[in-house]
Amino acid sequence: MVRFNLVAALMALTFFSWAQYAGWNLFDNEGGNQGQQLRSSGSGGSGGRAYHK
Amino acid sequence: MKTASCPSCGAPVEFKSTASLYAVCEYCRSTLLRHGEDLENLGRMADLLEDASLIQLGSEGKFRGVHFGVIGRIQLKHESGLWNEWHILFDDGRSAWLSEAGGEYVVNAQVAVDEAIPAFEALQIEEAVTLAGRSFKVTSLDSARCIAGEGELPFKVDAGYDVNAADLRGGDRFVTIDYSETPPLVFVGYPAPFKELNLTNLREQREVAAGGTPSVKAQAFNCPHCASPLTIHSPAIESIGCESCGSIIGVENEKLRLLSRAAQKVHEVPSIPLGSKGRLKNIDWEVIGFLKRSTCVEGVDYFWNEYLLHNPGEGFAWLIEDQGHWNFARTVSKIPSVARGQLKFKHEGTEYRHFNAGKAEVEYVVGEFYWRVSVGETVDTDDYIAPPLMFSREYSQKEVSWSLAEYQDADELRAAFKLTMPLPKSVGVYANQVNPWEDRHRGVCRLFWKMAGVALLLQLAFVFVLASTVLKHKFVASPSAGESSALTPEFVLKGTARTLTVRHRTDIDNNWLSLSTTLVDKGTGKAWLGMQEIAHYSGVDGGESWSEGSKGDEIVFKNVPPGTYFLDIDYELGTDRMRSVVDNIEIEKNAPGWSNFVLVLIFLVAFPLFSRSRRAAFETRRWSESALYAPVDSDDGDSDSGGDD
Repeated sequence: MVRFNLVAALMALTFFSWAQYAGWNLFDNEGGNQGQQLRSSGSGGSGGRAYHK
Repeated sequence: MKTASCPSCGAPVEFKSTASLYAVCEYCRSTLLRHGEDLENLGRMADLLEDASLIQLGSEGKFRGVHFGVIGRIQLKHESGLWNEWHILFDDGRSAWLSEAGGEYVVNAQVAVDEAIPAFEALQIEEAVTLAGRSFKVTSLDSARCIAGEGELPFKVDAGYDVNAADLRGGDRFVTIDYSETPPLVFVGYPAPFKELNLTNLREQREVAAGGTPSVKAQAFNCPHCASPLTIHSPAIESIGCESCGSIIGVENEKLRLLSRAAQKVHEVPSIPLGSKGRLKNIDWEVIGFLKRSTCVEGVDYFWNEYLLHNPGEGFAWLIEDQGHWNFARTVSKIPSVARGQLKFKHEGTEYRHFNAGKAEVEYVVGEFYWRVSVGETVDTDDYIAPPLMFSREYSQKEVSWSLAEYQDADELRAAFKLTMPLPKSVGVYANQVNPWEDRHRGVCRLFWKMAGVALLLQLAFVFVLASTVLKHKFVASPSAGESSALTPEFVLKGTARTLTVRHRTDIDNNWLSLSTTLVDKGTGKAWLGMQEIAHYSGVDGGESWSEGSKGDEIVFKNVPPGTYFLDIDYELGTDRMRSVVDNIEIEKNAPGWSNFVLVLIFLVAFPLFSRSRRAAFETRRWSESALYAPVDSDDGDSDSGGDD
């Protein structure tokens, strides 16, 4: 039980570290992926679009 | 030492102790009273009954480091057999008594007490009595008859007089109140295992092993009913159950007397045969007796088996088998102070909880016993548990005794006694069986706290080491402006931002603010868009305050390359309240989210929650066997809080 717990906990911590490093977050309000406006007028490259103001 | 001649037979009579006033002549058994240099013959002392005691006049021993010699004895007879009070003289001149009864040895001496001593008839078993400022409990009330004496004695012994005696115990002390005189005599002493007394010059000296452990030769007899061979392994044995015919025979004066003729209807075959020898708790034991007992709960009889073990130096112990579960038990001298019906008590730092109470009845006996056992004999019992330990109290009108049992692994037992036949299979969870989830749960909790600590350290490292604030800016949104926009100052990202968090903290109240945030790379013109709406409403309704929404929000842009950036914020402020709103903007690079930390903690805590539930399930099964009560699921020893981790 404890050994299985240890392995599972180490895997969880590894995954946690990766998620934190990569900026992955289940509940993020992520910019650049929202709304038709961005996708329809985007000019490519990392989800960015041209700024025309 | 004083030596005189017996006025009756002329044999030399020695007085080793100045406290000795009387002596019984070794040759003619005249009772002699000392008058200075002269001896007065008070008449012939009755003959001692021959018993199997190992001690004799001239035996020597040590108690608490002081050497003593045995100089006299009085012999008493009570319902359960004989007991000896050996008069001993220490090298420092003090004299005391060494009581020998039921396989227990107690060194005691007479003391003066200030308190009024309660009358024998007024005493009850387990009644608390204060003597010399200490509290004792009555453990035995017995009437005995003094049979005879020998050697030097500090008082005159008249054969045939009756003695009412009360035994009391408190802590490690043993008190005997002797009601043969008025006021009663009080003797205070300490139980001493036979081995610790280091006795020498014993009656069967030739058989005493080098280590001081007497190797008593078993005495052979024949059953007076069926003539089957019987043996007696210890001088403390008072009765024997014949394996062949079921008769119960009393041992008295090294002679046998039929107490119960083939009265046992049932015939049981012990799982561990009588005569089996094995080593348990680093002591060599021999199985000399077997008892089947029962208790009735709500009309249902429950049976269990008890095996009496014997070691010449250690005395007696018990192996108790109940539903395939085994316990190794020994009678304790230092009894706990527990009132009848008390739910729990602490003894030497361990808390014991009341598990069961009942009446135990002897159903079947075979082999040797240190009391006059009989089928149908009943005692009231109480069991208190602290797995793997169990304290059991057995009490009757005349006596109370406590034993401490430890749960015994059946495989270990089988190996110890080299048994070839399988032992009964264990059923269910036993009262003092160790909860296997107890240790596992502790280990899992320990691991949880370690892993949670690592997760916290990692999170703190991400927050304080890897994250950095790149801009703080404040702008004011005005309600009258309708849809408006604002620009932030420029900021520089030196490396790629895996995450760029734009955080808004406003003072909005009962209104909404719609934000369209555009992150603009000044060098390339690339832009990232984020849409947000911040709304916060509050008030008081029916005397209770309420609020909904939030005054702040954040949006995250992923994988933003190095460069010079600014934010272009288009906003619209609601008209629910015509008041400007201050928005504090903070832009943070590589800021970690806390939700991952919470998720990993939830994952980690699932293991201790699981082990805790398994542990609780085991305890539920244990306590379902208790006729008394189910315990409140307390957090005693629970390490979820980290208390014992």
